[in-house]
Amino acid sequence: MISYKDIFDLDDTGIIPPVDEKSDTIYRQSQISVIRAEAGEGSDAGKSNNFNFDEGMSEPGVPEYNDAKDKTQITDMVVRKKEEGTGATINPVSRGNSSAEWKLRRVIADAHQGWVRCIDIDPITNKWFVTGGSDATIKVWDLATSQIKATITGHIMGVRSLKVSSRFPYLFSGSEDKTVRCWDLERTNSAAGSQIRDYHGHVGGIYAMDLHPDLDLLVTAGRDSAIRVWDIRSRAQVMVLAGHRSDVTSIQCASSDPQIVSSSMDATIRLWDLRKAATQLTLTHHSKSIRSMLTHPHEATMCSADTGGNFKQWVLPRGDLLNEFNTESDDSKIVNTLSINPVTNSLFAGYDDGKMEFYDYVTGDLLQRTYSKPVPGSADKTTIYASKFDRSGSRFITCEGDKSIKVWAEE
Amino acid sequence: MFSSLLPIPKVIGKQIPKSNRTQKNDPTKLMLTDSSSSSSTTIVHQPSDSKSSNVIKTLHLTNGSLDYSKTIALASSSTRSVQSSYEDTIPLKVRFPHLKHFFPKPTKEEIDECVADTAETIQKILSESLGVDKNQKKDEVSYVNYESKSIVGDVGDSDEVEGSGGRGRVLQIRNFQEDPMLPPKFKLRKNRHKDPSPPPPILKKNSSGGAPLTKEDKEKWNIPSAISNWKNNQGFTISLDKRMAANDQSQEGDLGLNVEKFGNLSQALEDADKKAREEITIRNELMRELAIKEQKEKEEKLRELAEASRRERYKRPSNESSNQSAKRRF
Repeated sequence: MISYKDIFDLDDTGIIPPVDEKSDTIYRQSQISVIRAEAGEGSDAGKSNNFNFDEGMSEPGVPEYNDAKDKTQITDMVVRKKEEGTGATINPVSRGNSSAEWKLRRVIADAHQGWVRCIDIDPITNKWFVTGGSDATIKVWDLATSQIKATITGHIMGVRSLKVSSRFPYLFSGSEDKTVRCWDLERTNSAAGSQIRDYHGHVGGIYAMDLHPDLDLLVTAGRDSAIRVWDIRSRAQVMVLAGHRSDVTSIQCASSDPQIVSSSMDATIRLWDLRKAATQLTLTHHSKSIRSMLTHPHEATMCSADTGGNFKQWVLPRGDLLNEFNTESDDSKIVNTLSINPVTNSLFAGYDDGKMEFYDYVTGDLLQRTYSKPVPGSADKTTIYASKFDRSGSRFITCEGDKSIKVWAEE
Repeated sequence: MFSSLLPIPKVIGKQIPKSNRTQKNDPTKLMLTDSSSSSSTTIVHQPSDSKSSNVIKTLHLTNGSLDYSKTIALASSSTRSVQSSYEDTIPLKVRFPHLKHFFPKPTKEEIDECVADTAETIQKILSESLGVDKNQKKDEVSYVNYESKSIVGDVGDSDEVEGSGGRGRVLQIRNFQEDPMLPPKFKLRKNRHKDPSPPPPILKKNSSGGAPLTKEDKEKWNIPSAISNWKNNQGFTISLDKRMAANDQSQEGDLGLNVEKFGNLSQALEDADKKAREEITIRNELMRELAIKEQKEKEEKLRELAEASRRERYKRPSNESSNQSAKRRF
């Protein structure tokens, strides 16, 4: 009798600490520091952010790290503090060290009854994540223990895109059944169901969605190659952005121009001017369809990868081509998903045959190449459909075609 | 690659003012791209009448070739940029090998300005679509000259409105404010179920008055099951009465068989047969008795003969005969 533990060398006993309130507080504090560093100056109490700062700061005996300007400095300090507190929950050596390798730490086998197609991690507490699968369900998982917290049903076809709002306790989901739904996460386990809104209008499956960081706008797109912008509260469709010739595969929304960037299966990336409801620029450098495109969380750059294994990086306001590199492997070159580690600034690419590649975001050098082993009993290859780094950059989650969710961590 | 050279999407066409649409066929506003007009300086072909016209301006480089990017950018909209040069396909890091990787996000002031501007735009669109502000476009009334192109069927009308001049009409166009709280006009209903078929007719109401059903009526209405004399594929045993009933049903008119007399006949035949068999058995019995008697008589005769011959032998001397027999023995 072979168990998963024998095959995958699962040893996560050292990673997951027992529940420790002190370390938890410090961890939360680290999140606040990162968020503050992102927001700009850091210790500006009059900011209109909706994050609950007071919770972490009111803890007695926990020093504040709001004076540091440099982000890496912040994280280093946080890590050091954490080591003192509880004993290495996150390996500090891996920070900025390219030689550290990502290893599989945990497999949630049969997480869904079908392919796991999309993932989003809670952007505020970083304590849970949601996945959507081809079995039309959305599942909420605890990030530390990988225990399921809730199952959200309601869609009637596979869920293809998920987004957790950072300003409301809402989860947005788009599905192949052409519906966009809004779920109230505070009512996840209620008998009446947690759906509070739906956005009607798409004539094809929804493959990508994003929320405007500052306005109450939801941007969705998919099979019908039209991007629709919705007002979250009134459910009204604000505008339709037409121009793509094929399925839209990913959408990124930002507060500054270009406010919407979209990639499509017609091998183009379009930057949209939200105020004029028109295309600002069309990037036609890719020669094959683009399945994944991602803006950098801290820089004004973005990265896109096509099904020919070509990666291109762009400088954002004007869409200048910054850098390009290819995968140098003879395996499948179909890049399904991209993720950017916000801490170590590395780029992950997940392929259609289970290949995983980690690149340095700045130089484009390959740091690590590995393959995701399929869960025994499934096909001989697994597909990586979605991936996401958590906010601390120490965990990495992939959603795969063997119905499993895999959690990776650095050595 | 060339998708950016394609004509303007229709979404943008919405924003072109109405006044321009009427002037579309103006011959002076054609696009001028012939090579003869190229010169050593940048030339902008622009008609003098209006600034916001639909004309496509052509921009030329100093060597006389068309500057595609600026021309296309100008043609689509003033803010739209186009990457059309070869330089744009070379990455910045190749063009400038010592490029420092430092691309900070825009400052907070820029973001705030952009967000505020966008929010205003969105709010405007939303209020229009939801019908919140009514002061706009409410009193806009326009008049259109309409002339029917159909020749048939307008004769009577043209007689009535003689003064308006034939088939011409002046149409007033104004916005009709719809109540947004009204229930939907059209119901989207898929797969509507048809009405069920009507219930079967009730021929005789037995429960509600009327004469009760008599036995004759019942018999009259009794429809015997259809049974064939020729087909019985499943091989069922069929009781005779059913078969008869079926036969009655089918050959009621031309049934030439008198069942009663036929029965008598068959009964008589059977009786005769039985009688004959009885007689035969009696005769056989008699014959057998006779034969036994005859055999007994024959046996009696034989026995008498044997007795007679024995007696005759005893009449001779017995010793002689015994000696002879003894001699014969030794």
